[in-house]
Amino acid sequence: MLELTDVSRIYPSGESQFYALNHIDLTIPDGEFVVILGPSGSGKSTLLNLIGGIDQPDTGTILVNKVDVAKMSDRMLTRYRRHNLGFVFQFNNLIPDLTVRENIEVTAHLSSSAGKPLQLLDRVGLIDKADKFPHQLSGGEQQRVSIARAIVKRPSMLLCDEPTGALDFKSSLSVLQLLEEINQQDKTTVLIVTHNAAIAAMADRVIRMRSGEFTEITQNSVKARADEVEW
Amino acid sequence: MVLRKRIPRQLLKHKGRFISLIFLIFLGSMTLTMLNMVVTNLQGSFDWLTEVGKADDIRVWTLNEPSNLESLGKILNADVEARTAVDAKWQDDITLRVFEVNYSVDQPVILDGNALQRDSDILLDPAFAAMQKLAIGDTIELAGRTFWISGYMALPDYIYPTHFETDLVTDPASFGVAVVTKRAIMQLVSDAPAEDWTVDRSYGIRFHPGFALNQETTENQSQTIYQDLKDRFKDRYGLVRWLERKDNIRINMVKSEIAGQKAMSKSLPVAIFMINIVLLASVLWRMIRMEFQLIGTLRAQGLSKMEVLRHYLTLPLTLAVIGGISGTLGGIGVARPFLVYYTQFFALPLKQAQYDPLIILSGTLIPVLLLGLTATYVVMRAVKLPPKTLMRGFRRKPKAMFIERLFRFHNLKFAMKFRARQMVRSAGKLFGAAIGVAFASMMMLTGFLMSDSYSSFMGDGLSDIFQYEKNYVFKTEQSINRYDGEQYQMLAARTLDKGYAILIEGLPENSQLLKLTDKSGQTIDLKPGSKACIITRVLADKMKIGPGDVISFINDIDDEIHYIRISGVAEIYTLSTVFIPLDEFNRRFDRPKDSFIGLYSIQTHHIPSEDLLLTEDMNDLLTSLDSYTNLMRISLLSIGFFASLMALVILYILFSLLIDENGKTIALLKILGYETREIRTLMLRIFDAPFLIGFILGIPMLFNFYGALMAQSFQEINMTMPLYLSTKNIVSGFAILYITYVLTRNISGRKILKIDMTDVLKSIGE
Repeated sequence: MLELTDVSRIYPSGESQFYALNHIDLTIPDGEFVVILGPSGSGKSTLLNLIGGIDQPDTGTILVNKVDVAKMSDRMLTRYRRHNLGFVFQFNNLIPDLTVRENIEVTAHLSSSAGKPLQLLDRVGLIDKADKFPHQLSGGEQQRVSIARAIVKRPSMLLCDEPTGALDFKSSLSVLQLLEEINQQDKTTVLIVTHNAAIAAMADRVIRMRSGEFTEITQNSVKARADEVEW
Repeated sequence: MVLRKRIPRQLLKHKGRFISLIFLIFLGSMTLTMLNMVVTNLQGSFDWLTEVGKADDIRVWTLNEPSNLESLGKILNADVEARTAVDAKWQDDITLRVFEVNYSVDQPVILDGNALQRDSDILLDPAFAAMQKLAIGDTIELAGRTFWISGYMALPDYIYPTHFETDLVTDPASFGVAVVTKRAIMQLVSDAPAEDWTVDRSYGIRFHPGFALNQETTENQSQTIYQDLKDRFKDRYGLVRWLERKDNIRINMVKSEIAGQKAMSKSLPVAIFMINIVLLASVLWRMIRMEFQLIGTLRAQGLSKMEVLRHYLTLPLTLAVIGGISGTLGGIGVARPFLVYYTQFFALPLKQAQYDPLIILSGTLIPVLLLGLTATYVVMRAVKLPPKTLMRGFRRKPKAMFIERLFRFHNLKFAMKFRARQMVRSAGKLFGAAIGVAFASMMMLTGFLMSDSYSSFMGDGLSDIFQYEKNYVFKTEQSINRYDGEQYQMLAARTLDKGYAILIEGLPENSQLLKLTDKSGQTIDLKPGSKACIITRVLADKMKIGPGDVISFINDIDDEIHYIRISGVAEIYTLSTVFIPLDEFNRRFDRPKDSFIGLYSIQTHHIPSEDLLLTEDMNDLLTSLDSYTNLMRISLLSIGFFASLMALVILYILFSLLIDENGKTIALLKILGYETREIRTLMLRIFDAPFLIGFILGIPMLFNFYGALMAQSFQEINMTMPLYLSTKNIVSGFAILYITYVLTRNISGRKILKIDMTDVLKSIGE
């Protein structure tokens, strides 16, 4: 369970202050698929960074299974990320001089309960690319590898920052299908931050943001399947 | 960790750059190991020879033979042993100084072969034997007698076997030392042809431990003991010459070389490692900057700072370990031939080379430590940043903008403006290039500096001053000059301040055979009856005195203290001498009017050998200088080669970094239609100015470095060498380095061709 209470992130802007996040409250139960929508500068990436423990709030608490991430030391935050979280970024940030399999092994060794890299590659449909280097793969394939890298250590929460932002439609669909599968089969909580409103259809809950605040939170009574999403 | 698999791939990807770095580390470790091993082993051999060979503390020459050496030894609590030496003309122009074997003082130490067993056996110094192609088992003829070479030896008071004490270089082609039995020397003395053969007899004194000159004895105590001893010899046996071990040039030359090597063994590796540090930091920081987002991702995925640090340290540490271990092994390998060279050059025993584990460990660990610390600092600059900052990628602070505005580049033409901006933005690299080139030019010009200084010092310098061909020193004072030449007076003395051994020489007016000239080349005259007092440049520099100052000294013969006001300094770099007019000398030291002890002459005179203490031949000296200069040229060539290689490596790394960093700009210029040649001019010629500045900077750095080094290594000997670098050689050094520079620029320029326009455009799009 993830609980955010009165969370703010403030940046100085000249003589005034800029609220990247303005006193927000949010609760996400385990296994939920959440899509956060909003224009650039709305605070969605900041929210993801705070949940992911790569940034700290100026006010409020972020409880993950009753432990406040906001009060964690640098070392505790590293452990928190190592054991609880998986990250997927818009640009896959794969290590260019490691093969696909080795890129997954980089995070696999962080957890004693990690999955087998090759099994994971099979799952993401890239087993035949295991010994290829990232530059030998298409953009969609690269992003699938980065998802495999994120989930190999079996995180309880997967944080995705514009995972399809740099992909064409077909590649985006394959990535979304993978995320859907991870959520449903592994019961992993998935948080997706995106500009793309079409993705909202496959979420349990959709949060819309503007100027650091939630403008709308909607529960989808009927979720679309990933392969039904279109734009 | 699987991340380690990146290391060999990164090494392969940028092999040129990393091989260059490894080469520099190798060079640093090699010089560190090699120089320290050479110094340690030379010092060890020197100490061993002094101890095992029972080096004398004092050697004396007297008019009368001391009656009972054994009882004298008992009184002195020392070993006293007489030694006869014959300067034998083995062949035309080749003198072999044959010593009688001694067992208590200055005993020959066998380097190879067997000790003397028969009266027909002879031991030779190895350098002479090698030069004359004489092997153990060969025979040589001296005064009609055949001697069988039983072995090679080193004499503790002739480690640097010069013909005369005033010689600066040995020349085994014309002079060597040998040892025969006591009976054999007697036969040689009796059979010696009167002409050209000289006989010398001296007494070596070696104090027993605990009495004098051991480490516990203070300088004052030993001076008192020495003074008493000197008085005894003066009073009873008529002291002619007194030579303490610390004043023996044939020992001090070795000490001086060891001191020079010691200084070099610290400064050279330090300089190379400093360049290593700067270059590694540049290469690593470039790599880290490119991988900011990767580091951020790794941190976001849960890798700790320490894990990321460990990963990024692996590459520099791998380089340091490869370079360090190979350099250490290389150093050990190269040390041996160097040791062989030195031990032959100095007639020192080359025992089994000692491999000091501390030196070997230092050779490997110092680069690992230095580069490890540098890498830690560089990596931590990135790793300490929060992951979200890293995820944004590296952003250059606009620090150059101020300078760019300050210089108003917009008024310049495009090419000039472009280069100017590049220079401002690559200030660190340009600085590195200037320092690297300065160091390479120092190395390159070292050879030329040594060669020029040596030539000017030895060649023109010496023959301009010492215009005589023969210098005859009589055993006793003469009053009537029966031979053609310029007579002079001389005595040994010691300065009151610091106790330096000096010579006081009385010269005739307008001496034509020993020309005293000042800095401007003007002859300095010693007018008869005047109070003129000229000291040599060596003495002036050593004692930091000059015209107007008073020099005070104790004369070795009558032990009186004298004070003389200095009127000038003569540019003589090989002697610590005070020159005064001859008549003033005889008056001051209470010598008979017109008496003299030596004769400079341009002719050869047949003076009975029993009248002479020594004969010095200027031609021999000049010949030996020639052969020494030739020998030096070989090592100068190798230094020059290494300097060029270093310049190439340093510049190559900097060029390739510059091209990497400006990949996008280069691709854009290509798309716009620029030719490779034009891009090369725009991008790479920004190093032209630092190259020139570096080279120019290298010259004063070179003079300062070697000035300090010479001051340190010449402390032991009465010599200084003015540093001189000819314009011709500056231009030659510049030309060689410039060719290296252009070559490196062209090699690096080929990387421009490889930059893919589409890839770079894609990354701009992202």
